[in-house]
This record gives sequence, structure tokens and C-alpha cells, in this order.
Amino acid sequence: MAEDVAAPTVTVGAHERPDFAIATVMARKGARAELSRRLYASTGIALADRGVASGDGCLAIGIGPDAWLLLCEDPPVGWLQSLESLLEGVASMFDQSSAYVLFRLSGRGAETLLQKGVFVDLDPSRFPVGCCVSSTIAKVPIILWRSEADVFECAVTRSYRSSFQHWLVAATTASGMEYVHASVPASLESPRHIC
Amino acid sequence: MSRLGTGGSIDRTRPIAFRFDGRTYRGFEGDSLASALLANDVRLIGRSFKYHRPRGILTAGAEEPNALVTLRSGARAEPNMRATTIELYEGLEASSQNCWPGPRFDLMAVNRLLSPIFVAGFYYKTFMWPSSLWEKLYEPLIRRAAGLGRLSGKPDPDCYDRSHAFADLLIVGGGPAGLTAALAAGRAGIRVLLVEEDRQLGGRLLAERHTIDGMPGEAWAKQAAAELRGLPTVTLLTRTSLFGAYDGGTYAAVERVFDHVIEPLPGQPRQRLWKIQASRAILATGAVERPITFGGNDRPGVMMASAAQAYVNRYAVAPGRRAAVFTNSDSGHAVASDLKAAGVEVVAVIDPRPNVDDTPSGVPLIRGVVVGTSGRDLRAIKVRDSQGAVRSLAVDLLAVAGGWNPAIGIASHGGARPVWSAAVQAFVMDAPPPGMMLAGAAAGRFTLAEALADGVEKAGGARSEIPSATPERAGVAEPLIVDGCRQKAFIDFQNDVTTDDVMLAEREGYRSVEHLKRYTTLGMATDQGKATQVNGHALLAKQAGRAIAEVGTIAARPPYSPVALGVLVGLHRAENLRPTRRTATHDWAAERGAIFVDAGLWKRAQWFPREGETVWLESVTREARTVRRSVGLCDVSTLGKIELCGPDAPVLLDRLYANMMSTLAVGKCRYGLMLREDGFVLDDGTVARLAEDRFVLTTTTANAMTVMRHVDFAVQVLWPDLDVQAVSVTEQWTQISVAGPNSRALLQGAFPDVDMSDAAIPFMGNLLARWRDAPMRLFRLSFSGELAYEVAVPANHGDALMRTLADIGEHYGCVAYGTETLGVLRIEKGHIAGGELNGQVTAGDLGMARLLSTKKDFIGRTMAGRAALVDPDRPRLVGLRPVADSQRLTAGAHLIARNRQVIAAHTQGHVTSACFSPAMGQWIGLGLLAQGAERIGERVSAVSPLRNSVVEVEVCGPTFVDPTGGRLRG
Repeated sequence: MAEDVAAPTVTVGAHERPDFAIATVMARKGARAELSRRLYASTGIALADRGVASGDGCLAIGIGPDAWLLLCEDPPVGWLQSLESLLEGVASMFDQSSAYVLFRLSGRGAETLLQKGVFVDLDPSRFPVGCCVSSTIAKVPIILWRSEADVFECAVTRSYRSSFQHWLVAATTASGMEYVHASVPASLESPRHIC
Repeated sequence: MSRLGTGGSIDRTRPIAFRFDGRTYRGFEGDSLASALLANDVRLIGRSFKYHRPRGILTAGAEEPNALVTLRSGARAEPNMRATTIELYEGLEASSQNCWPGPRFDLMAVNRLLSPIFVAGFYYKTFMWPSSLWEKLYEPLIRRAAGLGRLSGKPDPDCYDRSHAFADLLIVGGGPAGLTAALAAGRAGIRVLLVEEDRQLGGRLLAERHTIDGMPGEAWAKQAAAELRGLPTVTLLTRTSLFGAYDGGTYAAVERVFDHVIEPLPGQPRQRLWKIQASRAILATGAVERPITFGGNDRPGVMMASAAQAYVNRYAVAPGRRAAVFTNSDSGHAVASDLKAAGVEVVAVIDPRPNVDDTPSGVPLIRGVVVGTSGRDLRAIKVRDSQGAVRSLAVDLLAVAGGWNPAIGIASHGGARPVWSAAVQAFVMDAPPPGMMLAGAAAGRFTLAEALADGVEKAGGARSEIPSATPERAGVAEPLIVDGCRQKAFIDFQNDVTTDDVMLAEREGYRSVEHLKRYTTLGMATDQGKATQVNGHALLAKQAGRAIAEVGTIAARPPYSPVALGVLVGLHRAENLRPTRRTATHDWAAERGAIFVDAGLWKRAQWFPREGETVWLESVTREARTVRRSVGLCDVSTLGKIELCGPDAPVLLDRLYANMMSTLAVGKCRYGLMLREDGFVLDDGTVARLAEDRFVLTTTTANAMTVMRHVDFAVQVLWPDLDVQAVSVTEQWTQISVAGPNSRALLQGAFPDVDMSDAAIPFMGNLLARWRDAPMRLFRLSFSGELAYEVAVPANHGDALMRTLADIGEHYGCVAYGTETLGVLRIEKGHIAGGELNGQVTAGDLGMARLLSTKKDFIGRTMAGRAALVDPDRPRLVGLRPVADSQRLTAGAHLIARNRQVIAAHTQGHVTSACFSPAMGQWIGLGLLAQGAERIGERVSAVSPLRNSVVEVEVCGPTFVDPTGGRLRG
């Protein structure tokens, strides 16, 4: 980098949230509209094909055609089952609560740090708040979205956790950044912006 | 000392001590190793590749072919570094190469005596016969002689980083054209990334004396750099070499982050790889000065004129005391002026052009050419004037200017061919790849004014933004190869290719530049012949009586400049070569001393040695015996798990599997066989029906991804009309196999609220329950042949489940078992796995022809009926048992009828899996044997040429343990 640019500070929080409910939701044939309607009526989430939509403490991340990852922080007991009942006949749901480890990366250097890992343009003009992408970092499959200007959420496929952390530490050090293993819980207070 | 008293961009307040070939010298901050060596009067840097001729410093840039050194020592030693691009730093250590004991006195120079035979095509001509000596003698000899410098042979202690960059406009090169382009685009708010290989922006402005907008060129460059740093959309990467252009606007570059220190701080990278995506790119890479080819042109002291200019102007070093300039371009005359201004005595400018009558510098002009040189370091040159008279001039520096080659290598990485421009007497790129433009000298616009204007224009700037520069004449010159020289005249300095080699190659029929390159190695060294090879092509054209435009030049390939493998590898080396996947019970297994094995990216416990067990077989035998006698636990989470949901899920499963699945009842499991479209077996596994419209299927660990892709293809492409949704849930569930006669009791202990009775969960049944407020899935499946279950819970609970089961299992003497025991148990039971599912077997080969449903269509059905696939002579799955109990059977051994000659043509099949069976008390195996089903009881030989073993085996049924299945029904 240009010599006179001081290394930005970055705070990296790493949390494994067992109480974080995650589900893959896939629309049944021809039921996309009804799925959107029911979900919106119940949670306030306006499903979008791409990016992150939010409502009622939940996020819906577009991960493919008619497919979303639904995340709910501190879900009420039976959240998944009630959602399943709500969407009966219009969507197939699959519990993925254990399939991902959620990392929150925040701070002025978060974008720089993540840009080292992901070959997707993270400039705010191209990857604004609410934008999401499925990609890889150091060959580890991830789903990444921007929740605030300087805050990124990264869902790492669970079994790759140690490899991802290895990259995280190496890349932070290589950039002259400070790695802080934050203990505050990752909040998913979410953007309304749709990418 | 040849350091000038004033001037240059060096910081005289910051002296630097460094070592070269064991001697300590001093330079200044801002020096390159080459400039610092010249300042200390070190002009002999190393010896040449083939003839071990003394070589010095030819250039001041990345195109340097001669001054190659080994930088640093020990594990950090890096050979073939160009002294001209190494930044001087305190404590730098470098050594010369290809000489012994040293560059001044090199015993290996004896090679020169053999030079008459070291001609083009030497290897091809010499090592023709006897052919038997090739492997034993010739190849090892050639390999020993090949290469320059030596690797340390030690692990690289440094680390390398990687990053990505995106830009609307990538500008390669921070010289005058690159700077004006960046300024114009940056001022317009365009997202610009400018990469410059030097530590400083300015390019040739740092080496030449110009005035731009009324200020010295270097000061203007500094001002431009300052403005660029202040522009919010501009990113500058200095010390960064762009080395490759790839499809779709992708580029690769290496940033030398901490190459200019002895040792980077821990964790900080020596270099960083940049992968760059740019909508547009401007190649403002400048031009490389071309040598003139004449006898003795490789002697230390013969230097490119532009380099001599850089040394006096940028580094304040006089590369010689008494100089001559040999030029056929106007730029050589400017160098004569600069040398003179720096206090170097310039005795003559030698210029063969008839229309040149005087020199701006006032130095005497000789219309003629240099035909020879003398001295180990240059002492004198021989000049032949236009009248043919030869005279000697005593000089220690000969600055040579033979025109310029636009640096277009990166533009031809996509395959575009350079074309000859008569106007600038050089190869140019008139059809660069889409999205790429060339600007300035790289586009053949050699004068400063042209370059400044071109940069602005290419970046879409306004004419008013073009800075004004003092006028000059372009350094255009025809490639010049001087005739009638007695000494060797070098074309490619690094590979020691001479004019004689090129002419010989042409006589022998190598008349394409590509053939010439491969036959003579012209341009094949690490400098890619940037400065020199055009002269070779000009000579080839001249010899063949063709125009150089017709002969052409080669297309450059990446990397444009040498790249260390370390920076390409980056983080991914040693245990981090690939990412690793860990199961949720990994830590539990590690605590128990598990030995792990790589299964794809997964780490799986292979076996769990206990105290006193010295070989793996002891542990595995104990584990297998315990499972058969009591109970064992094994994490089988790595098997692929795909969940399907939707009203058409049964229809899809019927089409995916060869056997019927739609009839499977809720609460039941079924074994399933999947075929590929071509009729061979793709994978096997189980399908469990969890609800009317919900199924979960398992795959082998190795095929998890393949099967998921197969399912997606079926859903999205083959039958998009089906209303079924499928996702991989491999990561979601920890699945633990609980196997052995005590498995039911163990599970009942762990889950007292779940009815584990045979009625509630019979063989091939499944049950949904809850454990610790989490969903739990129980499957009554057996890979071992014992009463067995698989328990699945969300992976976040996996570790707790395993510990709970192990605790309760202690009462039964439960063991943890790994993949080895898993293998033993399934071979004993005759279950197939990876060894059998090798992509070449049919259902019939595995004895499963009856599974191929005739009541429905499925993927692979038609092709599975091909004659060759139903041939009764195909190898079939059998069991194999050595006749002598003590003999060991090995997987991979060929099965050959007894008493037949052991040759490949007699192979009738092979051993697919083998293990020591505790249940049988001997080694056993599974194999594929021609007509195997009809040969039960026959004895054949299992021959392993690899292990030099021949074992007589009896063919038997594949099920060794409990053939009636009584145990697994419990």
C-alpha cells in the first residue's frame, strides 16, 4: 500500500452462537408470491432475490433462485417449527442452525481485511449495506454480507472454522492490523436496505 | 569511489552498510544494489551462464540480464535477483553467481575453451547416441549444469500475503504517461489503481533531465504523486510489479512489502500477491532501451546509455571515468550530455548515421561503429569509422543506445501479436486485448511531451490538463548488428546466445522466431529478452533476406518478470496446503489420542491407540473385537447428507436411485444405489423417510459433493417441473455410529425417554426424537453387520452427544473406533466402499443386479443395459481368503489363475480391499474377479508386483461374518 497510509485498526469478533437459529427456506413450485406474502405478514421480511432483507429480529439472505437463508437471533422456543407451520405448502425448510459459524468483523479496516480474502468488490459503492455474496476465503466457503458501513457478517461453513480462523489471524497480522477477539455478542440488528 | 559529490535522489544523510561477496561496502538510502556497487567501483558482478564470461551491470531496471546475484543467505537466500532492482538496505547481503571461487577468478571459465562446441542446438546434436546413456548419464549431467544460482534447500521462513483490488481503471507504470493518466482519471472521480514497480513514482523522469511545467521532472513527479495521494478514488501501489494479464480484465501483481529489510517482523509478509479486476487498463510501462550488437559487447563497462544516465542523474554515481557513447539514436546524444555534465570525461560519440553531423554535447563525433572491446573490465574499444579505418579508444565505460523497445509484453499475454512499426523502428501492439490501452513510450510515443499528452488522452482527460515539457527528439533507431567483428557478439546476454548461434540456426532451417527461440534459447531466460531479443529477430530477418516486419517477434507469456513460488502459494503450504474440515467431535477424538487421516479435506479419526499398543494393527484389532463383542462409537458425520422435501421428493428419488424408493414407508430406511448416466455405479448410501414429503439420504464421504451436484442437476435441469427442494445438510448434523450387541442398551441408557425397542425402531427403521431440547434422528443402520444405530443431532450438540455416549458406554467397555476399524468391520460383512466404488463397476459387478428396478425409469438405466456392461465375463465381487492363514493379503494385488505366467494380460481382476480380520483370525479381502460368482472355492494367485508378493487365495462369498444377518437384526 502507499507508504504514508497508516494501518487501519480492525476489530474482529468471533462468535459461535448455538442459540442462533438458521434455516434454508426454498419456495415450492409456483409458491414464491405466497411465501413472500406470508413471511412479510408474519415477520415483516420482504424477500428479495439478492441481498439481505430483515424484519422482526430475523434476516433473509438470498442464496440462490427461490432460496434463502433465514437467520434469527435468540429465537423463541419452537421458532423453526412455527415457521414451518407458517410456510406449510409454500416452502421447504431445512434446519441449518449448526451448519454455520457466524463471525462479525467490524472496524475501519474490516473491509480492507475482508478484501484480502474475497475476490468480490467490497467497495461501498458496489457492496453497500445489505449486500450479500456466497464466495470463498482462503478456499473456505463463506456467505458474507454488510450489515453496517464498517460491519460485516460472515457465515463460515462450520467444519472449516479452524481454517478460517487461521486465515483471519494471518491476514490481520500481515496487514499490520490488530486482531481483537471480541466478547460482545454479534447483533444482527439489520439493514432494511435491499441490494 | 565513483560517487558524485552532488545530485541524485539518494539521501546522503542516511548511509547504509552492506556486503557483497563477503566484503563490506557503503551506500546511501535511495541506492539500488547496482548503483551502490558501481559507487564502490565494483563492476564485475558474476559470470555468464554458458561460457562463464565476466559480466557486469548492463541496465538500471527490471530488464537486467547480467547483474544477477543471490540475495541474503541461509534459508532466506534468493538466487537470480537483479542487482538493478534490489533496494539497498542496512545489512543487505548479496553474492555473485555461477563462478568459483569468485567472479574475478573463476575456475569454471574453463568452459570457454569448449565454446566451439557449445553452439545452438548443442544438446540435440551431442546427446543423440547411444540412447541408453540418456537416462543414466546425459540427463543428469545436463540437469547439473542447468540453471543459475542455487536455492537454499531450506524451508522458507517468511510468509506471503494475498489481496484483491478492483478498479475502473488500472494504470500500469507510474512514469510520465501513467502519472498524467492517473491524474486525469482521478480528478474525474474515476476509481484508479496505479501500480509502479519502483519505490518511487516518476519512471524515466527520475533518470533523465527534463523540465515539466517549469519545474524539474523529478519535482513534477513528486508533486503529481502528492496530488494523487490526495484524490479519494486513487490507490497507489508502489514496489509492485504487474506480471500477468488474464481473461476478463483480471491481472496479477506482486508487491514487495518487506523485501527491503533484512527480516520482516513476525507475521508480516515479505511479498503480497494482488489479484486485480479492472474494467479498463492503461499500460504505461514505458520502453526498454535496445543494445547494439557488436564484438565483445558483454564486457563489464559496456552499459546501456539509458542506464548510465540513470546512474549519474538518479543515483549520483559515475559508472566510468572515461566514457564513449555508441549510439544510432538521438537519445544517446542526450546521455553524452548528461555524462559530461556529471563530470565524466566523454571522449567520443560514435554514431553510424550519415545524417548526423554534430553532437549537442560538443563531444567529438565519430561516424562509425564499435567492433571490439578489451580488458576484463572495459579498458578500450575498437572503433571502425565510415572509411573503414579502425582505431582504439581507451575508455572504461561504453554507453550504448540502439533505440527503444516499447514494453508491451503484458499486452500480449492474451495472445495478441506485436507488429513492426517502421515509424518507431520497434514492435508495437496495435491490437491490445479488450479493455486495454497503451500509453506513452509503451505505445511508441517516445518523447516526453508525447507521453504526457498520451496519458491524458487515454484517460479521457482534457487537453488543458496536458503539462508542457521541453521539446526533445525521439530515440528512434533501427536495430543494429555490427558486421565484421572478430569477438563474440552477444544477443541474449543471460543465455549466452551469440550472433553466430542465430546465424547457424537460420542456416539449419530454424527460420521462425518461435523455432529460433527454442533452438537457441534466445529470449528464454528470466529477462525474457526484453532488451535484447529484437536484435536476434532483426539478424534472423537479415540472414533470411526478409523484412523484420515479416519475421515478427514472439508473444510474451506471464509472468512478465520472475515471481517467487512462495508468493503464489501464500498461506497454503505445509498443513495449510488445503483447508481442513473438522467434525464436531474432533477435540474429543484428539483428547483420546486419535490418529487422524485425511479423507478429502476432512480429518477423520483413523484409530485410537491405547497405552501399550505399539502398532496400529493392535489398536484396530482391539477396536473391531470390542464392537463385535460389546459396543463401539464412531463419528460418521463426514458422510454426505442431503435432505429432500416437497411433494415430488419420492418421484425424484425413484429417478435418482436404481432401486425403488417411493414405496419406502415413513419411519423406514432403505439401502440405495445410484448410477451415473453412463450406467456405471455413481455412489451408494441410505435413504430415510422422515415424513411423507421429507427424506434424508446419505452418500459416501468422497462423493458428497458429486452427489449433491448430481441431485441439483436433476432438479434444476432434468426435471425442473418436479416440486422438490434439496439441500446439503452434512454440516448441520453430527452423526455417530453406535455398533455392537450392546448398542441398544447403551442408547437406552443415554435416552431413557426414547423407546429403543425393536418394535419402536426395527432394523432399517428411523425415529425422530429430541435430546437436550434439540432434534435427534435415530437410524437403525448397520455397516458393521452388528446390531447398530446411527444417532444424529445438530452439530453444535455433537461433542456433548459423543461424550455422553462414551460415558455411558464405559459400563459396557465401549470403544471409540476409527476409519480403519470401520473398514475391517465392513470388509468382514462384505459391504462395499471406496475400493469397490471405483467408477468402473456396474450394479451387476457388485452382485446387486437385482436392485435395478424394472418397474420405473432411473438415471443410467438404459446405458446399464449395454452389452459390455452385462457381459457375464465381467469381474464380480467376491471374498478372498489366503489359503495359508498367516499370509497377508494386500489391496491392489492382481488376481491371476494359478500357474499362469504373471503378466498383465493374464489379470482376471484385483483385490479391492483387504484387512486383518479379527473375526476370521486371518487376512481377508474383497475383490473383483472375472466370472467370480461361479468360481467360489477356486484358488487363484493374488500377485502384487509392487510388494513383490504372491499369495494363494481361495475365492469365497463376500460375506465373512454373519451371512444370514441374524446379528444385525438383534
